[in-house]
Amino acid sequence: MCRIHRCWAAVLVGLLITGGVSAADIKVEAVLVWGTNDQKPKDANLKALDKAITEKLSKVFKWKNYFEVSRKKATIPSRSSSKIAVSKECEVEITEMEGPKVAYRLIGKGNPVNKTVAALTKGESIVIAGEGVNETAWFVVITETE
Amino acid sequence: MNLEIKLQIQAWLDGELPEAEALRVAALVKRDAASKSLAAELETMRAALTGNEPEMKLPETRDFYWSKIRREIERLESSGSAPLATTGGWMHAWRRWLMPLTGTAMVAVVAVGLAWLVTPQGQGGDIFLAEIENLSEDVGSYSFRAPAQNMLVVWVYDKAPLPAVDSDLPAETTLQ
Amino acid sequence: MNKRKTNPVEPVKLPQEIGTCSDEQLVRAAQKGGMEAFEELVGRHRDKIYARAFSMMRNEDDAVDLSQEAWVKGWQRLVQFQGDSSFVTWMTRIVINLCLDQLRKHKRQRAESIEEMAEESGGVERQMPAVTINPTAGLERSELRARIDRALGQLSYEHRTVLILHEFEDLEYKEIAKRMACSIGTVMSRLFYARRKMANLMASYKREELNS
Repeated sequence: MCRIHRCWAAVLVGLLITGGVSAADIKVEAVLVWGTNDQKPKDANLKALDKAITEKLSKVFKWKNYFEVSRKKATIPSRSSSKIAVSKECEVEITEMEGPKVAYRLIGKGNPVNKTVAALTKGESIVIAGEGVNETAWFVVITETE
Repeated sequence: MNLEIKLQIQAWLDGELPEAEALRVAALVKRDAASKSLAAELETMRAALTGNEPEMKLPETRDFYWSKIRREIERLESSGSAPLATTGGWMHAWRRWLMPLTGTAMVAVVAVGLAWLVTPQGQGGDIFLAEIENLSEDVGSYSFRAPAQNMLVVWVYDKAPLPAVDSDLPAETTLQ
Repeated sequence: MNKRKTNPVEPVKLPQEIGTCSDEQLVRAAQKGGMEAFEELVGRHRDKIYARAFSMMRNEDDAVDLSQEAWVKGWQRLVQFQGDSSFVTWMTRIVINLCLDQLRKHKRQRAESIEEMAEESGGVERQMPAVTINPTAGLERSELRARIDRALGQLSYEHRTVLILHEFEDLEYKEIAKRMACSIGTVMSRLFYARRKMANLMASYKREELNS
Protein backbone atom coordinates (compact mmCIF):
# COMPACT_ATOMS: atom_id res chain seq x y z
CA MET A 1 0.00 0.00 0.00
CA CYS A 2 1.36 3.38 -0.96
CA ARG A 3 1.73 5.51 2.13
CA ILE A 4 0.27 8.83 1.17
CA HIS A 5 3.05 10.91 2.62
CA ARG A 6 5.50 9.14 0.32
CA CYS A 7 3.18 9.08 -2.60
CA TRP A 8 3.61 11.46 -5.47
CA ALA A 9 0.28 11.45 -7.27
CA ALA A 10 1.05 10.64 -10.86
CA VAL A 11 -1.25 11.48 -13.71
CA LEU A 12 -0.58 9.19 -16.68
CA VAL A 13 -2.60 10.19 -19.66
CA GLY A 14 -3.54 7.42 -22.04
CA LEU A 15 -5.61 8.54 -24.92
CA LEU A 16 -8.24 6.02 -25.78
CA ILE A 17 -8.17 4.05 -28.98
CA THR A 18 -10.93 6.06 -30.58
CA GLY A 19 -8.68 9.11 -30.51
CA GLY A 20 -10.02 12.47 -31.58
CA VAL A 21 -12.11 14.71 -29.41
CA SER A 22 -15.85 14.36 -29.56
CA ALA A 23 -18.35 16.90 -28.34
CA ALA A 24 -18.84 15.24 -24.91
CA ASP A 25 -15.15 14.61 -24.27
CA ILE A 26 -13.47 16.70 -21.64
CA LYS A 27 -9.99 18.14 -21.86
CA VAL A 28 -8.09 18.44 -18.63
CA GLU A 29 -4.74 19.57 -17.41
CA ALA A 30 -3.19 18.02 -14.32
CA VAL A 31 -0.34 19.73 -12.51
CA LEU A 32 1.60 18.03 -9.73
CA VAL A 33 2.80 20.60 -7.23
CA TRP A 34 5.21 20.33 -4.33
CA GLY A 35 4.58 22.60 -1.39
CA THR A 36 7.44 23.43 0.96
CA ASN A 37 8.69 26.09 3.32
CA ASP A 38 12.17 25.81 1.85
CA GLN A 39 13.26 28.61 -0.45
CA LYS A 40 14.66 26.20 -2.99
CA PRO A 41 13.56 22.64 -3.51
CA LYS A 42 16.13 19.93 -3.02
CA ASP A 43 15.16 18.37 -6.34
CA ALA A 44 16.70 20.44 -9.13
CA ASN A 45 14.13 19.17 -11.63
CA LEU A 46 11.33 21.12 -10.00
CA LYS A 47 10.25 24.24 -11.82
CA ALA A 48 8.72 27.48 -10.79
CA LEU A 49 4.96 27.18 -10.62
CA ASP A 50 2.76 29.56 -12.56
CA LYS A 51 1.46 32.54 -10.68
CA ALA A 52 -2.21 31.66 -10.98
CA ILE A 53 -1.94 28.29 -9.24
CA THR A 54 0.59 29.60 -6.73
CA GLU A 55 -1.77 32.32 -5.67
CA LYS A 56 -4.68 29.94 -5.26
CA LEU A 57 -2.75 27.43 -3.20
CA SER A 58 -1.00 29.97 -1.02
CA LYS A 59 -4.29 31.56 -0.05
CA VAL A 60 -5.61 28.26 1.24
CA PHE A 61 -2.60 26.28 2.43
CA LYS A 62 0.15 27.00 4.88
CA TRP A 63 3.24 26.32 2.82
CA LYS A 64 5.32 29.28 1.72
CA ASN A 65 6.57 28.02 -1.64
CA TYR A 66 5.10 25.90 -4.40
CA PHE A 67 6.98 24.20 -7.25
CA GLU A 68 5.81 22.39 -10.34
CA VAL A 69 6.79 18.75 -10.54
CA SER A 70 4.97 17.82 -13.71
CA ARG A 71 2.21 19.03 -15.99
CA LYS A 72 0.16 16.74 -18.19
CA LYS A 73 -2.77 17.25 -20.49
CA ALA A 74 -5.40 14.67 -21.27
CA THR A 75 -8.65 14.18 -23.08
CA ILE A 76 -11.23 12.10 -21.27
CA PRO A 77 -13.65 10.54 -23.74
CA SER A 78 -17.33 10.74 -22.99
CA ARG A 79 -18.54 8.05 -20.52
CA SER A 80 -15.04 6.69 -20.38
CA SER A 81 -11.84 6.84 -18.35
CA SER A 82 -8.26 7.85 -18.77
CA LYS A 83 -5.35 7.40 -16.43
CA ILE A 84 -2.96 10.26 -16.00
CA ALA A 85 0.37 9.73 -14.27
CA VAL A 86 1.97 12.68 -12.58
CA SER A 87 4.80 10.63 -11.12
CA LYS A 88 6.31 7.17 -11.42
CA GLU A 89 4.30 5.77 -8.56
CA CYS A 90 0.91 7.39 -8.62
CA GLU A 91 -1.78 8.24 -11.08
CA VAL A 92 -5.25 9.69 -11.26
CA GLU A 93 -7.93 7.92 -13.21
CA ILE A 94 -10.50 10.36 -14.50
CA THR A 95 -13.91 9.16 -15.64
CA GLU A 96 -16.43 11.28 -17.49
CA MET A 97 -19.81 10.36 -16.09
CA GLU A 98 -23.40 11.18 -16.83
CA GLY A 99 -24.43 14.76 -16.36
CA PRO A 100 -21.91 17.14 -14.91
CA LYS A 101 -20.15 14.53 -12.78
CA VAL A 102 -16.55 13.50 -13.14
CA ALA A 103 -14.87 10.84 -11.02
CA TYR A 104 -11.24 11.23 -9.91
CA ARG A 105 -9.62 8.09 -8.59
CA LEU A 106 -6.24 8.40 -6.93
CA ILE A 107 -4.04 5.33 -7.34
CA GLY A 108 -0.78 4.82 -5.48
CA LYS A 109 1.66 2.07 -6.49
CA GLY A 110 -1.13 0.32 -8.27
CA ASN A 111 -3.50 0.42 -5.28
CA PRO A 112 -6.64 2.56 -5.17
CA VAL A 113 -6.51 5.19 -2.44
CA ASN A 114 -9.38 7.58 -2.75
CA LYS A 115 -12.21 8.42 -5.12
CA THR A 116 -13.93 11.73 -5.57
CA VAL A 117 -16.99 12.27 -7.72
CA ALA A 118 -17.52 15.93 -8.32
CA ALA A 119 -19.54 18.26 -10.45
CA LEU A 120 -17.15 21.10 -11.02
CA THR A 121 -18.28 24.47 -12.23
CA LYS A 122 -16.57 25.94 -15.25
CA GLY A 123 -13.05 27.02 -14.49
CA GLU A 124 -13.10 25.33 -11.08
CA SER A 125 -10.15 23.15 -10.19
CA ILE A 126 -10.15 20.04 -8.11
CA VAL A 127 -7.13 19.74 -5.87
CA ILE A 128 -6.28 16.33 -4.46
CA ALA A 129 -3.56 16.81 -1.88
CA GLY A 130 -1.77 15.36 1.08
CA GLU A 131 1.28 15.71 3.27
CA GLY A 132 4.71 14.76 2.05
CA VAL A 133 7.80 14.08 4.12
CA ASN A 134 9.62 16.70 6.18
CA GLU A 135 6.63 18.98 6.48
CA THR A 136 6.06 19.33 2.77
CA ALA A 137 2.93 18.62 0.78
CA TRP A 138 1.90 17.45 -2.64
CA PHE A 139 -1.00 18.74 -4.68
CA VAL A 140 -2.55 17.48 -7.90
CA VAL A 141 -4.40 20.39 -9.43
CA ILE A 142 -6.79 19.27 -12.15
CA THR A 143 -8.60 21.81 -14.26
CA GLU A 144 -10.84 21.43 -17.27
CA THR A 145 -9.34 23.31 -20.17
CA GLU A 146 -10.95 24.68 -23.30
CA MET B 1 17.82 15.81 55.93
CA ASN B 2 17.53 13.05 53.39
CA LEU B 3 15.02 12.90 50.55
CA GLU B 4 12.86 10.32 52.27
CA ILE B 5 12.19 12.59 55.21
CA LYS B 6 11.51 15.53 52.92
CA LEU B 7 8.94 13.48 51.04
CA GLN B 8 7.33 12.39 54.28
CA ILE B 9 6.99 16.00 55.36
CA GLN B 10 5.39 16.77 52.03
CA ALA B 11 3.04 13.81 52.35
CA TRP B 12 2.10 14.96 55.84
CA LEU B 13 1.23 18.42 54.51
CA ASP B 14 -0.82 16.83 51.72
CA GLY B 15 -2.76 14.68 54.16
CA GLU B 16 -1.48 11.49 52.62
CA LEU B 17 -0.01 9.83 55.70
CA PRO B 18 -1.77 7.31 57.92
CA GLU B 19 -2.60 8.73 61.33
CA ALA B 20 0.25 7.23 63.30
CA GLU B 21 2.85 8.36 60.81
CA ALA B 22 1.25 11.79 60.52
CA LEU B 23 1.62 12.29 64.28
CA ARG B 24 5.27 11.27 64.11
CA VAL B 25 6.05 13.72 61.29
CA ALA B 26 4.09 16.49 62.99
CA ALA B 27 6.26 16.01 66.08
CA LEU B 28 9.42 16.11 63.95
CA VAL B 29 8.36 19.36 62.27
CA LYS B 30 7.65 20.88 65.66
CA ARG B 31 11.04 20.09 67.19
CA ASP B 32 13.41 20.26 64.19
CA ALA B 33 14.16 23.67 62.63
CA ALA B 34 15.14 22.31 59.22
CA SER B 35 11.96 20.26 58.99
CA LYS B 36 9.91 23.24 60.07
CA SER B 37 11.53 25.41 57.42
CA LEU B 38 10.87 22.84 54.71
CA ALA B 39 7.26 22.47 55.77
CA ALA B 40 6.85 26.24 55.62
CA GLU B 41 8.40 26.38 52.16
CA LEU B 42 6.13 23.67 50.81
CA GLU B 43 3.09 25.16 52.47
CA THR B 44 3.82 28.60 50.98
CA MET B 45 3.90 27.20 47.46
CA ARG B 46 0.82 25.06 48.07
CA ALA B 47 -1.10 28.08 49.31
CA ALA B 48 0.05 30.15 46.36
CA LEU B 49 -1.20 27.60 43.87
CA THR B 50 -4.53 26.86 45.55
CA GLY B 51 -7.27 28.71 43.74
CA ASN B 52 -4.82 30.49 41.47
CA GLU B 53 -4.80 28.31 38.45
CA PRO B 54 -4.23 30.53 35.41
CA GLU B 55 -7.45 31.23 33.57
CA MET B 56 -7.56 30.75 29.84
CA LYS B 57 -10.01 31.85 27.22
CA LEU B 58 -10.66 29.56 24.31
CA PRO B 59 -9.23 31.30 21.22
CA GLU B 60 -12.23 30.44 19.04
CA THR B 61 -15.76 31.72 18.83
CA ARG B 62 -18.45 29.66 20.50
CA ASP B 63 -20.23 28.89 17.22
CA PHE B 64 -17.12 27.85 15.35
CA TYR B 65 -15.90 25.66 18.21
CA TRP B 66 -19.27 24.00 18.55
CA SER B 67 -19.71 23.50 14.80
CA LYS B 68 -16.64 21.26 14.64
CA ILE B 69 -17.77 19.24 17.64
CA ARG B 70 -21.25 18.83 16.28
CA ARG B 71 -19.99 17.79 12.86
CA GLU B 72 -17.83 15.08 14.34
CA ILE B 73 -20.64 13.81 16.55
CA GLU B 74 -22.98 13.61 13.57
CA ARG B 75 -20.35 11.93 11.46
CA LEU B 76 -19.73 9.30 14.10
CA GLU B 77 -23.40 8.67 14.66
CA SER B 78 -24.12 8.27 10.97
CA SER B 79 -21.10 6.10 10.21
CA GLY B 80 -21.05 4.11 13.44
CA SER B 81 -17.26 4.31 13.41
CA ALA B 82 -14.82 5.11 16.18
CA PRO B 83 -13.51 8.62 16.44
CA LEU B 84 -10.16 9.26 14.82
CA ALA B 85 -7.10 9.14 17.02
CA THR B 86 -5.75 12.32 18.49
CA THR B 87 -3.20 14.42 16.64
CA GLY B 88 -2.99 12.89 13.25
CA GLY B 89 -6.78 12.71 13.29
CA TRP B 90 -9.29 15.09 11.89
CA MET B 91 -8.94 17.86 14.43
CA HIS B 92 -5.24 18.20 14.13
CA ALA B 93 -5.27 17.84 10.34
CA TRP B 94 -7.38 20.94 9.87
CA ARG B 95 -4.89 23.01 11.78
CA ARG B 96 -1.76 21.47 10.35
CA TRP B 97 -2.23 22.41 6.74
CA LEU B 98 -4.77 25.14 6.36
CA MET B 99 -3.95 28.83 6.39
CA PRO B 100 -5.39 30.30 9.57
CA LEU B 101 -8.98 30.83 8.48
CA THR B 102 -11.42 33.03 10.25
CA GLY B 103 -14.58 31.52 11.69
CA THR B 104 -16.55 32.97 8.78
CA ALA B 105 -14.30 31.41 6.19
CA MET B 106 -14.37 28.08 7.98
CA VAL B 107 -18.13 27.96 7.53
CA ALA B 108 -17.27 26.96 3.98
CA VAL B 109 -15.66 23.79 5.32
CA VAL B 110 -18.34 21.18 5.02
CA ALA B 111 -17.51 17.59 4.24
CA VAL B 112 -15.72 14.85 6.11
CA GLY B 113 -15.29 11.39 4.62
CA LEU B 114 -18.23 10.29 2.56
CA ALA B 115 -20.18 13.49 2.17
CA TRP B 116 -22.52 15.55 0.10
CA LEU B 117 -21.64 19.20 -0.39
CA VAL B 118 -24.24 21.88 -0.61
CA THR B 119 -23.47 24.81 -2.86
CA PRO B 120 -22.76 27.85 -0.70
CA GLN B 121 -24.26 30.10 -3.35
CA GLY B 122 -27.55 28.23 -3.09
CA GLN B 123 -27.80 27.58 -6.77
CA GLY B 124 -31.17 25.89 -7.04
CA GLY B 125 -31.07 24.52 -3.51
CA ASP B 126 -29.21 21.35 -2.53
CA ILE B 127 -27.21 20.36 -5.57
CA PHE B 128 -24.90 17.40 -5.59
CA LEU B 129 -21.35 18.68 -5.91
CA ALA B 130 -19.01 16.02 -4.56
CA GLU B 131 -18.85 12.58 -3.06
CA ILE B 132 -15.66 11.28 -1.52
CA GLU B 133 -14.87 7.69 -0.79
CA ASN B 134 -11.78 6.24 0.87
CA LEU B 135 -10.67 3.14 -0.95
CA SER B 136 -8.08 2.12 1.62
CA GLU B 137 -8.54 1.54 5.33
CA ASP B 138 -5.22 3.30 5.98
CA VAL B 139 -6.46 6.51 4.51
CA GLY B 140 -8.91 9.20 5.42
CA SER B 141 -9.92 12.31 3.57
CA TYR B 142 -11.60 15.66 4.00
CA SER B 143 -12.97 17.99 1.42
CA PHE B 144 -14.07 21.55 1.23
CA ARG B 145 -14.65 24.28 -1.30
CA ALA B 146 -12.61 27.41 -1.47
CA PRO B 147 -14.98 29.53 -3.53
CA ALA B 148 -12.71 32.56 -3.69
CA GLN B 149 -10.02 30.42 -5.32
CA ASN B 150 -12.53 28.44 -7.39
CA MET B 151 -11.22 25.19 -5.94
CA LEU B 152 -12.62 21.99 -4.57
CA VAL B 153 -10.02 20.50 -2.26
CA VAL B 154 -9.78 16.86 -1.28
CA TRP B 155 -7.17 16.32 1.41
CA VAL B 156 -5.92 12.75 1.82
CA TYR B 157 -4.12 11.67 4.97
CA ASP B 158 -2.63 8.61 6.60
CA LYS B 159 -4.78 7.50 9.47
CA ALA B 160 -2.87 7.61 12.75
CA PRO B 161 -2.70 4.32 14.63
CA LEU B 162 -5.27 4.02 17.41
CA PRO B 163 -3.95 4.02 20.98
CA ALA B 164 -3.19 0.59 22.42
CA VAL B 165 -5.38 1.13 25.46
CA ASP B 166 -8.72 2.84 25.72
CA SER B 167 -8.24 5.80 28.01
CA ASP B 168 -11.57 7.43 27.43
CA LEU B 169 -13.45 6.88 30.65
CA PRO B 170 -12.43 9.26 33.42
CA ALA B 171 -12.29 6.57 36.08
CA GLU B 172 -10.27 4.12 34.09
CA THR B 173 -6.60 3.50 34.38
CA THR B 174 -4.57 4.98 31.63
CA LEU B 175 -1.58 3.39 30.01
CA GLN B 176 0.56 1.21 32.27
CA MET C 1 -19.89 2.73 21.33
CA ASN C 2 -23.01 4.16 22.88
CA LYS C 3 -25.38 5.36 20.23
CA ARG C 4 -27.92 7.95 20.99
CA LYS C 5 -29.88 9.63 18.27
CA THR C 6 -31.83 12.81 18.56
CA ASN C 7 -35.48 12.20 17.82
CA PRO C 8 -36.42 14.70 15.14
CA VAL C 9 -40.12 14.39 15.81
CA GLU C 10 -40.17 14.94 19.57
CA PRO C 11 -37.51 17.39 20.66
CA VAL C 12 -36.30 17.03 24.26
CA LYS C 13 -38.14 19.64 26.28
CA LEU C 14 -36.39 21.57 28.99
CA PRO C 15 -38.45 22.95 31.88
CA GLN C 16 -37.27 26.51 31.30
CA GLU C 17 -35.22 28.80 29.13
CA ILE C 18 -32.04 26.91 28.28
CA GLY C 19 -29.72 29.59 29.54
CA THR C 20 -31.23 29.36 33.02
CA CYS C 21 -31.15 25.56 33.27
CA SER C 22 -28.74 23.98 35.72
CA ASP C 23 -26.01 21.70 34.48
CA GLU C 24 -27.94 18.74 35.90
CA GLN C 25 -31.01 19.62 33.86
CA LEU C 26 -28.93 20.07 30.74
CA VAL C 27 -27.12 16.80 31.29
CA ARG C 28 -30.40 14.93 31.68
CA ALA C 29 -31.73 16.48 28.49
CA ALA C 30 -28.52 15.74 26.63
CA GLN C 31 -28.56 12.14 27.86
CA LYS C 32 -31.88 11.76 26.08
CA GLY C 33 -30.39 13.04 22.87
CA GLY C 34 -30.85 16.79 23.33
CA MET C 35 -28.05 18.26 21.24
CA GLU C 36 -29.09 21.80 22.09
CA ALA C 37 -28.68 21.07 25.78
CA PHE C 38 -25.23 19.62 25.14
CA GLU C 39 -24.32 22.66 23.10
CA GLU C 40 -25.22 24.83 26.08
CA LEU C 41 -22.98 22.72 28.31
CA VAL C 42 -20.14 23.11 25.85
CA GLY C 43 -20.72 26.84 25.73
CA ARG C 44 -20.64 27.12 29.50
CA HIS C 45 -17.58 25.04 30.18
CA ARG C 46 -15.49 25.29 27.06
CA ASP C 47 -13.02 27.74 28.60
CA LYS C 48 -12.42 25.55 31.62
CA ILE C 49 -11.87 22.39 29.57
CA TYR C 50 -9.64 24.27 27.15
CA ALA C 51 -7.69 25.79 30.04
CA ARG C 52 -7.03 22.37 31.51
CA ALA C 53 -5.79 21.09 28.16
CA PHE C 54 -3.63 24.14 27.63
CA SER C 55 -2.08 23.98 31.08
CA MET C 56 -1.00 20.42 30.35
CA MET C 57 -0.03 20.71 26.71
CA ARG C 58 1.27 24.32 26.66
CA ASN C 59 0.31 24.48 22.99
CA GLU C 60 -2.79 26.31 21.79
CA ASP C 61 -3.52 24.13 18.78
CA ASP C 62 -3.13 20.89 20.71
CA ALA C 63 -5.26 22.24 23.52
CA VAL C 64 -8.09 23.22 21.16
CA ASP C 65 -7.96 19.88 19.36
CA LEU C 66 -7.87 17.82 22.52
CA SER C 67 -10.60 19.82 24.20
CA GLN C 68 -12.86 19.31 21.20
CA GLU C 69 -12.13 15.59 21.20
CA ALA C 70 -12.98 15.53 24.87
CA TRP C 71 -16.39 17.03 24.15
CA VAL C 72 -17.08 14.48 21.45
CA LYS C 73 -16.14 11.68 23.84
CA GLY C 74 -18.25 13.31 26.52
CA TRP C 75 -21.27 13.18 24.24
CA GLN C 76 -20.62 9.54 23.39
CA ARG C 77 -20.29 8.55 27.03
CA LEU C 78 -22.87 10.84 28.54
CA VAL C 79 -25.21 7.99 29.35
CA GLN C 80 -22.53 6.68 31.70
CA PHE C 81 -22.36 9.90 33.68
CA GLN C 82 -24.01 9.12 37.00
CA GLY C 83 -23.61 12.46 38.73
CA ASP C 84 -21.03 11.20 41.27
CA SER C 85 -19.05 14.32 40.47
CA SER C 86 -20.02 17.54 38.79
CA PHE C 87 -20.34 17.44 35.02
CA VAL C 88 -17.39 19.77 34.53
CA THR C 89 -15.20 17.60 36.79
CA TRP C 90 -16.19 14.57 34.76
CA MET C 91 -15.37 16.39 31.51
CA THR C 92 -12.09 17.61 32.95
CA ARG C 93 -11.04 14.05 33.66
CA ILE C 94 -11.78 13.11 30.07
CA VAL C 95 -9.60 15.87 28.69
CA ILE C 96 -6.85 15.06 31.17
CA ASN C 97 -6.76 11.47 29.96
CA LEU C 98 -6.54 12.61 26.36
CA CYS C 99 -3.73 14.99 27.25
CA LEU C 100 -1.86 12.29 29.14
CA ASP C 101 -2.10 9.96 26.16
CA GLN C 102 -0.78 12.67 23.91
CA LEU C 103 2.05 13.59 26.25
CA ARG C 104 3.08 9.97 26.46
CA LYS C 105 3.29 9.81 22.67
CA HIS C 106 5.45 12.93 22.67
CA LYS C 107 7.62 11.50 25.41
CA ARG C 108 8.37 8.38 23.41
CA GLN C 109 9.60 10.58 20.59
CA ARG C 110 11.69 12.85 22.73
CA ALA C 111 15.08 12.15 24.29
CA GLU C 112 14.93 12.38 28.03
CA SER C 113 17.25 14.64 29.86
CA ILE C 114 19.63 13.20 32.40
CA GLU C 115 17.61 14.83 35.15
CA GLU C 116 14.43 13.19 34.02
CA MET C 117 16.09 9.80 33.81
CA ALA C 118 17.54 10.16 37.27
CA GLU C 119 14.16 11.08 38.63
CA GLU C 120 12.44 8.21 36.87
CA SER C 121 14.84 5.76 38.46
CA GLY C 122 14.18 7.35 41.83
CA GLY C 123 17.88 7.91 42.33
CA VAL C 124 19.87 11.07 42.54
CA GLU C 125 18.59 13.95 44.59
CA ARG C 126 19.12 17.12 42.66
CA GLN C 127 20.62 20.13 44.24
CA MET C 128 17.82 22.61 44.03
CA PRO C 129 18.03 25.27 46.69
CA ALA C 130 15.28 25.75 49.22
CA VAL C 131 13.37 29.00 48.86
CA THR C 132 13.15 30.69 52.20
CA ILE C 133 11.34 33.87 51.18
CA ASN C 134 7.75 33.94 50.07
CA PRO C 135 8.02 34.59 46.33
CA THR C 136 4.34 35.40 46.05
CA ALA C 137 4.06 37.95 48.82
CA GLY C 138 2.45 41.23 47.83
CA LEU C 139 1.29 40.06 44.43
CA GLU C 140 -2.11 40.92 43.08
CA ARG C 141 -4.08 37.85 42.14
CA SER C 142 -3.85 38.48 38.41
CA GLU C 143 -0.09 38.97 38.66
CA LEU C 144 0.26 35.84 40.75
CA ARG C 145 -1.69 33.84 38.19
CA ALA C 146 0.44 35.25 35.38
CA ARG C 147 3.61 34.21 37.19
CA ILE C 148 2.23 30.78 37.94
CA ASP C 149 1.38 30.40 34.28
CA ARG C 150 4.85 31.50 33.27
CA ALA C 151 6.48 29.12 35.72
CA LEU C 152 4.29 26.21 34.66
CA GLY C 153 5.50 26.74 31.14
CA GLN C 154 9.06 26.24 32.31
CA LEU C 155 8.49 22.92 34.01
CA SER C 156 9.03 19.57 32.36
CA TYR C 157 5.87 17.79 31.32
CA GLU C 158 6.14 15.33 34.22
CA HIS C 159 6.55 18.06 36.83
CA ARG C 160 3.82 20.16 35.32
CA THR C 161 1.40 17.28 35.07
CA VAL C 162 1.86 16.10 38.63
CA LEU C 163 1.49 19.63 39.91
CA ILE C 164 -1.70 20.22 37.92
CA LEU C 165 -3.25 16.93 38.96
CA HIS C 166 -2.44 17.49 42.62
CA GLU C 167 -2.83 21.22 43.09
CA PHE C 168 -5.60 22.00 40.61
CA GLU C 169 -7.44 18.71 40.31
CA ASP C 170 -7.08 17.72 43.98
CA LEU C 171 -6.17 14.17 43.10
CA GLU C 172 -4.50 11.96 45.71
CA TYR C 173 -1.03 10.50 45.13
CA LYS C 174 -2.52 7.10 44.38
CA GLU C 175 -4.83 8.46 41.70
CA ILE C 176 -2.07 10.52 40.14
CA ALA C 177 0.19 7.47 40.05
CA LYS C 178 -2.52 5.54 38.27
CA ARG C 179 -3.08 8.21 35.67
CA MET C 180 0.59 8.86 35.07
CA ALA C 181 1.42 5.16 35.06
CA CYS C 182 4.15 5.46 37.65
CA SER C 183 4.75 4.59 41.28
CA ILE C 184 3.48 6.64 44.21
CA GLY C 185 7.11 7.24 45.15
CA THR C 186 7.74 8.79 41.74
CA VAL C 187 4.68 10.99 42.15
CA MET C 188 5.95 12.18 45.51
CA SER C 189 9.43 13.03 44.27
CA ARG C 190 8.10 14.70 41.11
CA LEU C 191 5.68 16.76 43.18
CA PHE C 192 8.43 17.76 45.56
CA TYR C 193 10.74 18.91 42.80
CA ALA C 194 7.89 20.58 40.93
CA ARG C 195 6.98 22.65 43.96
CA ARG C 196 10.57 23.54 44.64
CA LYS C 197 11.21 24.43 41.03
CA MET C 198 8.08 26.60 41.00
CA ALA C 199 9.26 28.35 44.12
CA ASN C 200 12.69 28.95 42.60
CA LEU C 201 11.18 30.26 39.39
CA MET C 202 8.76 32.56 41.20
CA ALA C 203 11.63 33.83 43.34
CA SER C 204 13.66 34.58 40.22
CA TYR C 205 10.73 36.52 38.73
CA LYS C 206 10.56 38.52 41.93
CA ARG C 207 14.29 39.28 41.66
CA GLU C 208 13.82 40.32 38.03
CA GLU C 209 11.11 42.72 39.10
CA LEU C 210 13.22 44.18 41.88
CA ASN C 211 16.21 44.60 39.59
CA SER C 212 14.25 46.30 36.82
